[in-house]
Amino acid sequence: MTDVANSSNDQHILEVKGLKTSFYTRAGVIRAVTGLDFHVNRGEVLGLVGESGCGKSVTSLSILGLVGDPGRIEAGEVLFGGEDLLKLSNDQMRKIRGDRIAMIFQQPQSSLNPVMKVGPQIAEALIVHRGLDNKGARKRSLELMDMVGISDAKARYEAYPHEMSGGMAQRVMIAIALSCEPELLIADEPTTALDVTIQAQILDLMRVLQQETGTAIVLITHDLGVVAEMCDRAAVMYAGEIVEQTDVRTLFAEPKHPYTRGLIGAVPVPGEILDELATIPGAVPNLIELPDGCRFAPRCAARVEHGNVLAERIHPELRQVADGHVVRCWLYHHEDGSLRPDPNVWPEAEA
Amino acid sequence: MKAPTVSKAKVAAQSAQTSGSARSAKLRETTRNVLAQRSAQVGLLLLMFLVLTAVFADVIAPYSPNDNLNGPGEPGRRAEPCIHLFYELPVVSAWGCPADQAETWLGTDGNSRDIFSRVVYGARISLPLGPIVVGIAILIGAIFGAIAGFAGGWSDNILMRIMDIVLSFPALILAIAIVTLIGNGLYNAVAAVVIVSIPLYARLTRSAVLSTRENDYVTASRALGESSSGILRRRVIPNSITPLIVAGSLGIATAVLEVAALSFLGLGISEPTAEWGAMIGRDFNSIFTRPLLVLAPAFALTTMVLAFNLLGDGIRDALDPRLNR
Amino acid sequence: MTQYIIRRLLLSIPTLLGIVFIVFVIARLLPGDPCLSALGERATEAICAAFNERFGLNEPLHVQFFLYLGQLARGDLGDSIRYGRPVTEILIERLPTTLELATYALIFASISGVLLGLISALRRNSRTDVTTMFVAILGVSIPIFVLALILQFVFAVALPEVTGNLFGTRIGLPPSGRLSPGLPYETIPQAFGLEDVGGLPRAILDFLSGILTFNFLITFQWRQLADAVQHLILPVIALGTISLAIVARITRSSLLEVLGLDYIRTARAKGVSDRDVLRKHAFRNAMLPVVTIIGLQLGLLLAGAVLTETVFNLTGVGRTMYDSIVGRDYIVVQAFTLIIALIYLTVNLVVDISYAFLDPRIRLK
Repeated sequence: MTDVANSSNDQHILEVKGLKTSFYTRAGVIRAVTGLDFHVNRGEVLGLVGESGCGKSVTSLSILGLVGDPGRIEAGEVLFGGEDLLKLSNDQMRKIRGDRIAMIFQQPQSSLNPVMKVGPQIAEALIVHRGLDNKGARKRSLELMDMVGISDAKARYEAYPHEMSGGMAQRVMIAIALSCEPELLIADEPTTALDVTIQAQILDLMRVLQQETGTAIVLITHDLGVVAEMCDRAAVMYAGEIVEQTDVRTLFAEPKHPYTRGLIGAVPVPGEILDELATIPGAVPNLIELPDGCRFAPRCAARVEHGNVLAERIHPELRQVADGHVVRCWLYHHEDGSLRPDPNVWPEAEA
Repeated sequence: MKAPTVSKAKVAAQSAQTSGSARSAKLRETTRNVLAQRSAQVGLLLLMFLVLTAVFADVIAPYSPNDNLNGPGEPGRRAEPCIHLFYELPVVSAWGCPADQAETWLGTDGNSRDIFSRVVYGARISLPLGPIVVGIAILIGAIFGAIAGFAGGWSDNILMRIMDIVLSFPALILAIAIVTLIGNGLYNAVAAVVIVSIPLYARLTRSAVLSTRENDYVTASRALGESSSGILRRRVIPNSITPLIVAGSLGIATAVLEVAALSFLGLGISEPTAEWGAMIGRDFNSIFTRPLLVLAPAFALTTMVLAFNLLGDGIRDALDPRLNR
Repeated sequence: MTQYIIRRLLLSIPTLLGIVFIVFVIARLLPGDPCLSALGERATEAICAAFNERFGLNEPLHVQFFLYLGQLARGDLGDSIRYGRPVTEILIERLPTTLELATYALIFASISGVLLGLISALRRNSRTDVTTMFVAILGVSIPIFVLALILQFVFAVALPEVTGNLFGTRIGLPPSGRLSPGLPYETIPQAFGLEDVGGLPRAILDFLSGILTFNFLITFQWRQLADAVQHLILPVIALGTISLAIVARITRSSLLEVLGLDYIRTARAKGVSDRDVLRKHAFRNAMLPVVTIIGLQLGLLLAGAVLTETVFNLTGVGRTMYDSIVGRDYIVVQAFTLIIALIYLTVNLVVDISYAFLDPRIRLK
């Protein structure tokens, strides 16, 4: 893993190392993200995949420094262009947000200020980061609205968010995000709240704009179909950590982690008739009392099949199984041998 | 056709019963949540203190509230506190008095009645007023609201129009007008405050009824042949109860303030009954000469309203998770 | 927008008629013979017959109602039975006192309430927040007349006493009234030589003169202005505190709710500074419920004026209303209740319309 970090450091626009974010609530400490490692190459689209509640959104907010009370980033580094964002002051971070890193959200309509016309909401980032005056910002905003496919931009500039459809509002959000030509765009479930046809349009738009601008994108989604369509590489998250990271082709062709296999199995394939949809039994573990062992173990069919008792007791590490392919699973520790547990302590593991 | 309807209604009734036991579990949980709120704890503590004062008034108070300390039939006189212990101490000698005089902690009012005893006994009158007013107002308001929401049409229109008009008067002004209409007195003051409080609860019930009526399970139980009154009793009322409890627990303090204001203006309870608002109203000009005469019942009254407000806040916070921090 | 205002205006007409009707019914149903209570021992049967004739009390109720409506349409509120003067005259004399009191109380409550609420919300769960919110709950718990009496005691009795003993000069605030007794002052018509003006303009000028702070301000009577302000401080605080506490609590909870919403996150993600997030995005949205609550305060303030005016011995609408109820002067009760309800209705209208200005979502529907 260290060699991965060293070899291609300047290629990585974003590198997250050991990120740990927790929420201190009355009910207990929710460990939303626990030691997260992944990277994004310049100009690529990385899919961050997982079920809801696995810490995808918290990850994105942590990168932007937007984790509010009662959340705390407790450890780790977020290297953006070689600079650790977690070490920046509030004001330095503010200057990066919306300028070099931008974000779009799941609910486009509630993500826009309801009492402000949408035009000025696009113009705002330009005024903040580019120092444009109102007139210049307006002119540029209208261009941006054209670019994201909003027809009759002049009239729409004066519209309020409630007068727009969800798809239109998401186009506005994209315009806001791209206004300062960011190096990295974080898109948190950008199409989940939209109708299916609109979803396709928005994804198309994002792909076209990505190819035009070369912006790197972290696409957060629970939908593997979207990953297949949009992404170059994918990182699969489970219960606050990465369980597998590789390029998309390998991910679908040779998924290593049982969880990834389960997710892929849960995608209905057109034309193929199944007796029942393959689903993963059980639910995401309680993030307040995380299990000591592998977090996926209670739901893992492979564990049962291999009779792997180890998985229930000791937490596996993220290991490289092929070039650019890392997995966090006991199944792939045996070949490597380095983390083979002491047989005196774990005699069952020898079996 | 008939047989399956009956059996399905039975199933519906059974499910209502199971939801009844679930409801009592929910009630226990709600109570626990309420008691977990700091403001509810403080409010409850203050309220317990006042309730105990009211219950043990004859033990706590040294005199009966209407005793003339100068002797029956003698002319009354406002007096400073008279505390035997202070007689020997030079610093507080102003409030000290010889052992042969009747001891009064807070002095006496114009009829030579012990202020402390009157404030203590006042709890018996003042404490139940708020809950009584709100209880009656919720009962009547809920009936109006349920009729309006369930019947719809012209009865809804007329009832809600009347409620609107009542709400378009400042509450106290209308209460004053009503008391003048039906005459002074404690019961009439209570009635007036009940009348001005009804619209709030009627509106709440009506909107709860309307939103419940749209729910699928009500449509379903109607389709299964459950009677209107059954639907009302088993489905609608349980769903209307939370907003009513929240509004009602916050409304007690408001009701207390309104009744006290009427008493203060001399429109409520009549002499010689010891009631805090009336005590303040009768002697408020003494604030310049014998401040204790006014400040003692004022302190008691404020404590009571504070207790109800704190408790109400706690209940609201417990039942409305949106505001939880 | 215009359409919304027109619809809103039309909607208030039935309510207005309902108010007039209820006021009429209540006033006519007041127990006791108005003639007896107005004239007392002078009331003989012959005099009462003439009295009833003059005030139209012999007609059947529905006829009286229509007579009353006709009167109202002409701007005639009737003659007071007790004072034997037109109610409009009494109103011009006494409404300014209440209006001045209630307006300053509303301004005091809104500004300090919003400020306290903002501070509380921004320092959530800090000691400042906890203290402010406790004071706020105390503020809604203390009856107006109790607070008024405590203020009187502290600032008009205890403070002069203490400062007198300590420094030899008694410093405090006047306990009651609108001006120090014997302080000469000019009304607006006197100051501008308009005493010959009559009719409606004169009525308006007299009304404006009654708003003492306004009168003294535009006629440069600085000593009188200072005196009037000193007299206003305690009643304004007494009357405004409940509303202040309510406004502070609503502001706090509303701002906290808004700060947790998606579009605030968007604004932060855009790189907008915390100050601008608050100023441009959170504040206006958080103020929506606050505006409604501030509007609702006026009813509370007008009702509270009855109590405040009683304690501070001010002859305003509230006090007159109370005296008239006790004295069975139903014409005055009727007129004043109507005026108060009318003011209340107007303010609610203004609140609704300003709400539509603040929130574009309202304008459509």
